[in-house]
Amino acid sequence: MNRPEERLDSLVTAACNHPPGSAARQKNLTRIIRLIAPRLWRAHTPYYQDALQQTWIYFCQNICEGKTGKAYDPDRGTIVTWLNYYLKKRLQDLSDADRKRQEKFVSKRPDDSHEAFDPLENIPAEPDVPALLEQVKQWVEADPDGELSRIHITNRPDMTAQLLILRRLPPETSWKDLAAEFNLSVSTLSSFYQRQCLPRLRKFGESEGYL
Amino acid sequence: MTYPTHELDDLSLSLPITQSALYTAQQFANQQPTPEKAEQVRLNTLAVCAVNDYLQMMGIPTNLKASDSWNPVLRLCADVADLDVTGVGRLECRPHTSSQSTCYIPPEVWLDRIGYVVVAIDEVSLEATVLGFTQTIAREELPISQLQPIEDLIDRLHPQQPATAYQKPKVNLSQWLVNTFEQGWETLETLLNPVEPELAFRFRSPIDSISRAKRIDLGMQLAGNPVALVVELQPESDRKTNILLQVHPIGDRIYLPPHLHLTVLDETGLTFLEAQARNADNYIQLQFSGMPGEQFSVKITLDDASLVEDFVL
Repeated sequence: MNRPEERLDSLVTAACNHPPGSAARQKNLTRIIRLIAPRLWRAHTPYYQDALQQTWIYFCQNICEGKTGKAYDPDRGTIVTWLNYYLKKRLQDLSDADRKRQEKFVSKRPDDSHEAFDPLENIPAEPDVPALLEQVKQWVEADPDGELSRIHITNRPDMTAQLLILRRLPPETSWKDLAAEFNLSVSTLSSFYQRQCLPRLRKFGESEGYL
Repeated sequence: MTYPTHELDDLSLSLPITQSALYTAQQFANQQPTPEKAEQVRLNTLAVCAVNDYLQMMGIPTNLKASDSWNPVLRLCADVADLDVTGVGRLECRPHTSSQSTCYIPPEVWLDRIGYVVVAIDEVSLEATVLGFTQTIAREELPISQLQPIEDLIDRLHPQQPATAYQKPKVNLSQWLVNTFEQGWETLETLLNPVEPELAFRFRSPIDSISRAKRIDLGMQLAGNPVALVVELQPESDRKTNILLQVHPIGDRIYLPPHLHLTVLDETGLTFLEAQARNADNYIQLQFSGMPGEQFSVKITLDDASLVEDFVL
């Protein structure tokens, strides 16, 4: 057995000697992934990375205990062999699923094709581009609670939350330019923005139902 | 893909960029009003997704929906790539696309983060390579060479373990009055240069006052220019305590580095008092008073580097 294999074995022992969810288990799993990633099967298909991600999850779940499948058995082969077998199966599954979608695509009208595959169907509908920027801008300018124009940087009544948010909306003025323009340090400006402006924008987003 | 140094390859961790990450990143980018902003959002999203997938592999729960990077208003208004790690806090996942030796950390994410992960995004090979982790940042450009391996992040995410007692505690000044001092706070005699006439500039009746000093390390900027933060307390009444802050050079230096800033921030992080060293200052100081339970932070800044100490009275 060559050296990398010995190192792998000792990392696996170290990982499995600690309970799932422990820092020691997680660190050793990370080290194993780092070591074997370059040795796994490679393929140039659009779904390779998805198959690989599933393989890493399978690895973490089953290297010690066998939570979602059979636990790894060193007598039956190396970890790389074990994972390559799983990875190729996932690639096959994804390629089969893709072929089915293609068939569906052919049988359906082209403009219906997208609804067949959407990995993130549960993501809520997103507002469209100009609308959101305009909406935020209008809210900041109107300042319905009077809060944004009242809150300002200490001793600088001219530097209000309202002014800073408007200047940071895209296309935004850089922090460096703002610091020079208003004769304040970048960290004074940005810490005011983070502590006083972002929480209010978060609240606004919430009230508009974007969360 | 090339990295600034070869050693980094040993610490880095290559992760897949999945179809759903690409899809989400494109969705989020499509909502942006300018091409620059769209590109920023796309890369930020890819970095967050990669770290999220990694934490999922490790069985560490996260909450994308509680993250600013997942909030349409926030990602429009700020350059954010945060990932909410359940019960721990916001982890910033910064994308890195060039072979530059530093990674830009936008000022709007300098506060309120449990740490920073730098992720190299390679869209040709569809690989997200975690270059490393740092818990704190001292400047806008974070040197890649100063990153710790991602294993250090795991320590940070297990706060109950002694190795990870990183949550910087506030210096409890009321305890000083009963002679209990946090680690690193030493007597002035121990830390400061032996003969320092400036120390005469202390409270007028030093009998009732308590003082301690701490060595401040601002990294590279202060190499060869070490300084000490001196805090002196003088209880004035039951409720009110006078506080004197000074920054002194230590080692064989006589003068403070010019432009060194001493800032007092109030509880909300706003600047409350400020002093700056000129060309030949032996020390700088600020004085104020506070009530029991009041909190403040002291920030020492030199150029782009800064360090904050949090205090409670």
